[in-house]
Amino acid sequence: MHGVKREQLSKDAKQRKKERDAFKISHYRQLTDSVLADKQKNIFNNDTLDETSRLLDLNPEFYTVWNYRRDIITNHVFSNLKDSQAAHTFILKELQFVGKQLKSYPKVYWIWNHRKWLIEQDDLFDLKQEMALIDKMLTMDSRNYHVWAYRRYVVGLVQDKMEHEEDIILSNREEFNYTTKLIEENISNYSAWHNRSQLLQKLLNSKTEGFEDKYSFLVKELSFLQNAYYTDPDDSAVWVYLRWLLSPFFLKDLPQDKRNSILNDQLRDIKELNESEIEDSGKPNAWCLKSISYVQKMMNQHV
Amino acid sequence: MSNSKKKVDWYKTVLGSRRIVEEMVVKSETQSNQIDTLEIMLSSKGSGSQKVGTLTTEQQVKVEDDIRQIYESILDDGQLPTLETTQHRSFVKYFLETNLPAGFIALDASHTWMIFWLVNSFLLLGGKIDEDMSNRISENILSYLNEDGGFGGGAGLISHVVSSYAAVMALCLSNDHHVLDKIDRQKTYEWLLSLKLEDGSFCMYKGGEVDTRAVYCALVIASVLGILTPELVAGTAEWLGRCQTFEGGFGGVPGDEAHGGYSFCAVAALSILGPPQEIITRHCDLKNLVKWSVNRQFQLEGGMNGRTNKLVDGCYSHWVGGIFPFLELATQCDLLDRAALKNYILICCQEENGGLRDKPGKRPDFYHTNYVLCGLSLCQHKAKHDPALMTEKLGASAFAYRVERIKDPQEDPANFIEPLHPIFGIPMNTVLKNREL
Repeated sequence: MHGVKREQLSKDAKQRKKERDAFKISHYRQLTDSVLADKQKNIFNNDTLDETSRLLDLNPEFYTVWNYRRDIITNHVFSNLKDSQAAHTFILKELQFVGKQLKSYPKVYWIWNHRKWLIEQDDLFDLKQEMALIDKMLTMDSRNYHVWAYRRYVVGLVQDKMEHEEDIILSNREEFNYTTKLIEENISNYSAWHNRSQLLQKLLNSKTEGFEDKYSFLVKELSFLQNAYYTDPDDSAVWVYLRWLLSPFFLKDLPQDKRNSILNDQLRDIKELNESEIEDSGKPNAWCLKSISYVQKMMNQHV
Repeated sequence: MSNSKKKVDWYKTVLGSRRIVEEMVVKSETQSNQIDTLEIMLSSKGSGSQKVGTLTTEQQVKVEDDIRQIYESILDDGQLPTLETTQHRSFVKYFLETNLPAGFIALDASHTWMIFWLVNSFLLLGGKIDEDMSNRISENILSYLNEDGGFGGGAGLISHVVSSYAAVMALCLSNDHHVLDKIDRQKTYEWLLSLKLEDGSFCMYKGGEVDTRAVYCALVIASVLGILTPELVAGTAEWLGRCQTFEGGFGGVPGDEAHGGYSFCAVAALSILGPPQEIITRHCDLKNLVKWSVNRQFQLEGGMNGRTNKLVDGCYSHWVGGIFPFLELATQCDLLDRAALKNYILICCQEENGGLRDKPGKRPDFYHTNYVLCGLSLCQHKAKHDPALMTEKLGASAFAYRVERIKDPQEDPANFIEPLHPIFGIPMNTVLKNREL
């Protein structure tokens, strides 16, 4: 109805586009037929590997071809390599190919899947390097669902290789700090808040500094959160997270006096924020009102 | 006094012409509820997030400004758009009958999806499939059936759960009542079982990714083909429950962020295993799920987003909207602002030349056309779960739905769209047709 009206192509331009299209399609079809025929015959060699590269450049969503490529790598490339160093060299090259694809198609499941498989094959692979790529991709799109899932996966791999409990805790702390950094850059980045929620559950159980007990953690975390909701009282991410911090999951283990002091402080601060919102805009803030009613409910629940 | 009534009175004084006014009254009366809703939507201040200019808030404010402008102009005209059924049907039909241009190469591994989206849209729009189209559907789809009992996304492609879901659904849409018998159920069963993981989840293909989509698709296939067994779903409901986040929605796998698409898949998959009012409360936190789901609907836009602090997108009318029939059954409450969602769909998602889209300024595509129409169907219907239709058989609950049109004398019949099966996402009559066998 109200869309941007598209320019009509002239007749000539239409014809030229049709010809270009026909050429593209026939080229693509030929390549596809050839790759699928080779796959059918289980041909695993350098030529078929190259062929899949060309086809995946044209259609990175071709999951069967990613699958075939994996078979070629397993049955041909790996079996002809002398040692794990040679495998490592090959995988680095392959990761470059995948990386290039991801840059253009950062949301295609099969590409991520191929990348996961590759790094699992390489004992010498430096996972730190992978974290650098992930950081970079999150700079490009801080909400990319695939990248966040992949980040958790790679961190998991890193931690699997760790022998000491303290190292794992340290790694989780680094990840936690990374979410702090992203939230400070953009408090609306809910993916960062979510990852924070995952990490802090691990850290709380580990009794590490700042996370020794739920009370001292909550006091610190709530003050961080307060900064955020004063920055933008209309941002839902912050309020959703606050509600969780004030849920039975955290409150149930606290002694009554500490629990009361936390709830009282929050009630006071949110009310104050709401007052200032009314002063500013003449209207109360919906998230403040919801949160006030929630905090009051939590207070009564205990009495 | 309703706002539209006020408007009519105002027109009467200004125009003084009885005939014109009467025409307007008729028009207004059929639309007054939607117009009132639109006024309420416009009274929302939107996200109001203008204090800090992050990228997120800038994008949100831009969308709000665009949509506010569109809504205001509609209100000025006093006339709401109706569903351009003819245009959308010809959009769908054109792509069903023509060779696709090179721009579609990326969808070459998604043939079953393209067929499913287009044919499903066509039927939702009240289209009738003739014998020729029906044959073409089944011929094409069956040519993607592999030896192992699964379907690939196209000819010569390996079996994939998600492609197979679209394939089986597309076959249900054809006129051939016996077409599902062309699938060797035993083989398909074994193939699905081979994709089952120890923790109760499913992967897409051997070595492929795992998420709630795979679980949903596997369970739908098994349910429609009548091959659902306790062995196939052992641990599955528990695994789905673990995907719920503290926020209330579901992530793709345990630990991931809550997301509209994955949430629909999780809730609909659970609802294959039992009546929603029982199974949802057994495996997840219903209250939290309700809270998360209602928070997805924007006050100003009326449409929905898929995650906290993301933009409105027409496709979530289905992925998030589609969770509501289950929630409404489980809570016995009206939870969705159907009138607001309908306004978003009819005003913002229709492309002039046919096809439906994500939001104004975006191009229509097959995917959005289907899921926006599914969302519109949701706005016009209410699902009931009838225990009398249930048997003791595992999965019988999925076939115990009645979907009824919400009686609304103001609804313009031009907007009517077919009732949708809440789990399978295809018109009710196509499910019943295949069930009678």
